[in-house]
Amino acid sequence: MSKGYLALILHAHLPYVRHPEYTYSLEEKWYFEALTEAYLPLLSVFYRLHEDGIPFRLTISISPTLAAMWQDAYLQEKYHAYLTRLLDLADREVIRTAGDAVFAPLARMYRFRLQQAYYDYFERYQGDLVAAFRSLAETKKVELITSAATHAYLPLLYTQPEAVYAQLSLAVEQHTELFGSPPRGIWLPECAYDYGLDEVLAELGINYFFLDAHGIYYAVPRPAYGTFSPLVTPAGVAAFGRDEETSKQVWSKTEGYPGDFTYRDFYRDIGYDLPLDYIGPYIHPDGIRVHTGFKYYRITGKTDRKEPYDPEAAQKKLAEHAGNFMFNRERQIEYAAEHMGRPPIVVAPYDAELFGHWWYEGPAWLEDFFRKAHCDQDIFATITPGEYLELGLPLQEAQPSASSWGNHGYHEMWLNRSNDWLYRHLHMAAERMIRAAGDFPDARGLRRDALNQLGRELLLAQASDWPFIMAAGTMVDYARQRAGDHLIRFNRLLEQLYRNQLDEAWLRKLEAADNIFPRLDYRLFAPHRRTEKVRQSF
Amino acid sequence: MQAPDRLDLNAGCSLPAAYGVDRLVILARDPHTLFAYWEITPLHEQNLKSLYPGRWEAGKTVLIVFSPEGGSKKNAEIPPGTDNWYFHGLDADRLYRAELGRILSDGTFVSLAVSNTVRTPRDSLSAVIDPRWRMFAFWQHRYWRRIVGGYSSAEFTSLDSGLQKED
Repeated sequence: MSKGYLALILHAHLPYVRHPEYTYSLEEKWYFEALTEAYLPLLSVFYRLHEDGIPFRLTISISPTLAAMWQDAYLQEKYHAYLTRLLDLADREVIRTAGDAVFAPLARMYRFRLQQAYYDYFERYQGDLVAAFRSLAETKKVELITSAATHAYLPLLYTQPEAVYAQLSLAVEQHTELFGSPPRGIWLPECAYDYGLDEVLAELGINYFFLDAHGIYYAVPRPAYGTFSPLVTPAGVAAFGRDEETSKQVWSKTEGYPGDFTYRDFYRDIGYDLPLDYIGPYIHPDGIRVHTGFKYYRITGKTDRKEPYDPEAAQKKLAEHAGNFMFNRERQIEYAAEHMGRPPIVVAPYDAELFGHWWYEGPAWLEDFFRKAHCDQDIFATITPGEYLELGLPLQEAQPSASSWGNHGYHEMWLNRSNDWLYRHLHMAAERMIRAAGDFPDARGLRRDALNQLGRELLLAQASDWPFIMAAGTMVDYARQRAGDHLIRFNRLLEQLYRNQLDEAWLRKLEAADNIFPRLDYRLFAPHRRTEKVRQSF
Repeated sequence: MQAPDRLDLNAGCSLPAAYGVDRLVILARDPHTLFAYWEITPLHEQNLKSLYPGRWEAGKTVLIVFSPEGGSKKNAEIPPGTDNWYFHGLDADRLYRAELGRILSDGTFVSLAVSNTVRTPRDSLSAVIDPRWRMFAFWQHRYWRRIVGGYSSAEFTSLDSGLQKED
């Protein structure tokens, strides 16, 4: 009988990136890399654990933008071209390194991994990752939850509660349609919470969400168990708090496992190292050097003189780290259980893309941990938040604090000098969308199509990724352009709508370019009686 | 990265500098900071200006932040041409509202716009204890110390058993 529980949460999200107008897009490459290095290897891990009868439990939040990309036929085709090119590079690398005792096995390792990704994606899953995850959820070992429709940073959009309602309601709708049942929980983008959001979640039938630790610690009244138990908010939704220790052990740049010197170095890549006449066909067509995924060195230390990667040493290290993670959970849960007199829960959420993409050994670490946790100890069991709530333990009622898991714990990353200009446009567009939905309550034909497209442009502009990228300082032009593009299209289309001068040819182009949520109904944005309660509580 | 057909979809349009709507909006950024942005239409400003000839021009624009829950008001003088402001040094867990206005040369305050209301996030443990949820000593003292000290559970539990022996 276990004394407590560990809930591992993986949050899978990428912004909606789809550029048929370019033959090569760096941004689509983010998505292809995440598929090859994270989502596909993680799926393999979970299916392998299931097939081996390991009773693991895991929660995965799949953002609606990511699910929409998984569904997109254009991206599926382009992924084929991307993988084929990389497989070609893999063959050339095997030839180039032949006879080299150190590098040849590494080149073969990458080729094998790419072949595996190709087989998994196109043969095993038939290009349908939504179906692959849905089947995984049917094992009851994995609980799938959603996030906001385009991963909007909700507290900063709260000036128009209908816009927040639309983000969440659409997410629930899409999740239900794609994964076969409504999500019991939600990953609020960036763990960003503001007072009253729980009211909307309750309206939508969502049972739980997550907060960073201080969102729980600073709740009123003071939480008796800290993050070792969820709270129940005034609206009746359970709020689980992120455990700080598990977060630090994996996330911390200095002390976290992924920074171990034995692990593979992310930055050293043949895209930068090899001569242009060789690597040219596999990088940006303009000759801009980019990551190819072929990385032959280990982190080594704080030095530019990197040593070759040794997969066997890395395997040993990850087993050691998995054991350390398990050992610390045993001590933590044992200790908390003794003092609490009831089973504690430790909630450990991570970005899914960390596993495999940034932290190459991440998926293997996760697999090893689940196997060890099953075979080598009985102090804790893994659990999903949904199952934990089913235990029926009484929960303390409290009002969590507004917070996020971003830098400094609040909204600064998404609201600072680099991105604050955006909000006056986002708020105005939301205000106008709500008004338009009220002014045209029963639009038909072209006008309805225009209203639906207005909704898509607004949603795409609201993605938290754009202000985040602006603040992070890389790819800033792209983020500014994307947010600006959607807002400009929104403004122009709205003007045409009210002037009754819709340009159908242009509208059809917009529908083709920004094709997310094909079944979106603009009336979702209508001034809604449900939001009255939210307005009052805000 | 700039493909012509993508730009075509926007037909050379850009984001408007103004929407022609008078508004003042505030957002709580963290427990002690609010961000405010505003738009005051030329017509609105002109109308007010005409009511106070001379005194208006000699006045200054201010942004006032106050809490409907009481306490002192804070204000900042806004340089001409500014349309947003960060207000620092506010209290955590407090309702705030802002008002943009003009202080005329004779001290009269003329309001230009009033904002929405926001609550700043909390930044500390609550003093409110629910008697049905008694605090656990470990949580209040030892565990909290562990979190601040950054120990791992294994390190902490061995340290803690040492402390208990000392107790």
